[in-house]
Amino acid sequence: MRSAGFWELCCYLLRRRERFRVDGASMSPALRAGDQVFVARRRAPRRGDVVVARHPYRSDVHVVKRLVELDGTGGCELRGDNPAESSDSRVFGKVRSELIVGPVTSRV
Amino acid sequence: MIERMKNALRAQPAPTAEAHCDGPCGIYDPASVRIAAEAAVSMTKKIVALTPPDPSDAKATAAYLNTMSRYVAIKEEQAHIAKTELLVLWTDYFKPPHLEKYPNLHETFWKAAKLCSAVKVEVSEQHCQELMAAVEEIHKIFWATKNRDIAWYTAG
Repeated sequence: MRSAGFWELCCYLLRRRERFRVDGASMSPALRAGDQVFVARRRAPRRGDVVVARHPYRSDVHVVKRLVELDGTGGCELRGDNPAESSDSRVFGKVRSELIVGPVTSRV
Repeated sequence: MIERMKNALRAQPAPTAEAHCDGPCGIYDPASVRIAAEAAVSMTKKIVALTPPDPSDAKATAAYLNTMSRYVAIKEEQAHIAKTELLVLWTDYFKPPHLEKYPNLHETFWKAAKLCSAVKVEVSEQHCQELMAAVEEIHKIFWATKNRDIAWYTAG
């Protein structure tokens, strides 16, 4: 994951980015526990993007996973890069696209 | 300049995005239901088998009542534990994708939980057998969802 530059900081100051702190190792080495990331709320995620999404069954929880498949009916298959360390669509099924907050654009 | 801004930002708290396993451990096993259910079933059998003493024998009557009370207390406790363990599996482990594959999942759990209550309240060997059959059914569904072939067994 690329490190945030001037443009990303500007986007954050203009409220075009949300900031999240990563917890857990399922996205290592792209993202490690304790990393902070910027998320583009208004941008539609594409296949292969790392995304932040609301957990489908725990409304107070956000997850950060890779979007590995986006089907025509708005179902998103999310996977951790490290399957052994990850609860993802293998456990909670496909995630509706409206639960996706947005793609991670850079690391703070 | 940019690095200083980023350092300042990183020092600020941000909402957490989880990149790990759900729950504290993610370890589930219907064996916890089976062990408690087996204990309740065993107590039911012991209650049925316990012979009342001659009522004129005060000492034997006291011992009988004490033993019977203990059997009943343990049966109720273990049947309740079995029900609690069932609910944990049902509500925490199983997810909607499992339900699509096993449409009778809710019915199976509901019946099993009801049987725990029956075994708790009654002294019914019939309901004990039905409870063990229900737990075996849940054992099969659970391990099938994990694509693992774990043979059913009982401790008793």
